[in-house]
Amino acid sequence: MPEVTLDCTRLRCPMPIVKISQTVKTMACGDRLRVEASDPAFKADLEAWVRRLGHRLVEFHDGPVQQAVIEKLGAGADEWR
Amino acid sequence: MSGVDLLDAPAEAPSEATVRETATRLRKIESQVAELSRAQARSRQGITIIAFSGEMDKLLTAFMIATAAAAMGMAVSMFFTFWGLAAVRRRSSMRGKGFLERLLTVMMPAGPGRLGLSRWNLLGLGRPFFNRLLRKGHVESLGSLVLLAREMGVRMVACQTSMEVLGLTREEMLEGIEFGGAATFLDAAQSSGSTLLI
Repeated sequence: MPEVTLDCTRLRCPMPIVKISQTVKTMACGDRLRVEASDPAFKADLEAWVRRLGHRLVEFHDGPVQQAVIEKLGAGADEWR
Repeated sequence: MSGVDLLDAPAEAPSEATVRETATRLRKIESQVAELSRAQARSRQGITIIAFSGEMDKLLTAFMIATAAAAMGMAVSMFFTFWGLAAVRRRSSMRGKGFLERLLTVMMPAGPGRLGLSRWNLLGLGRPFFNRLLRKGHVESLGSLVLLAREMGVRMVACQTSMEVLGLTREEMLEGIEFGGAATFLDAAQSSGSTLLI
């Protein structure tokens, strides 16, 4: 399946989830997004974002640079607008 | 005919017309229920923010939440009243203004880059210091978050009454914003899950 990568290192809240939401909008269902981030609140924010929009957090690795893989699932909440 | 009447009625096969009428009414009720639950889901996914304060740190908080909410797929409405109008002001214009309005035009900050802080302002000396801290922490500036919010489809409404009180004209405001009043705010607030006053 196609995988997109996104560098969010050095970005601070709320920019990582802003960039992620903008990127995920351009992807097809089932595509995966690999993100790197350094914001200490990234994990909490990403989990909340995934829960809200109904996507799936496939992988998460902690560290000074956190790595996450998200899978885009069905019509998310961004669809109804 | 009520439910009790139906129970008491003699058990005879309903006419075809009755069946058809009942089916039509049922379909209507079903579509109304679906519409109601959609409206309820929409309201849970919306947020309304009143930006009343004119300090940069407070407006930065308002725009951080607004852009994050937009990223979460929520419908975001922001209302700018009194000092908060400075966030969506872009330029100063003296056109068609009387003496008092001209005085207010000079006193009111002309855009997000010229706002003071709610703490540590130190007569304006705190501002460049705080901006340096924000840059060092890689936090977006208020000005860029305002433009990002507009780009992300955040609805921004400037309160027409407080604009008039402060002598601000529409040509001084950011392009793409709306102008409205208390009813506009209440309508948005009623159809959203939470409302913040900042």
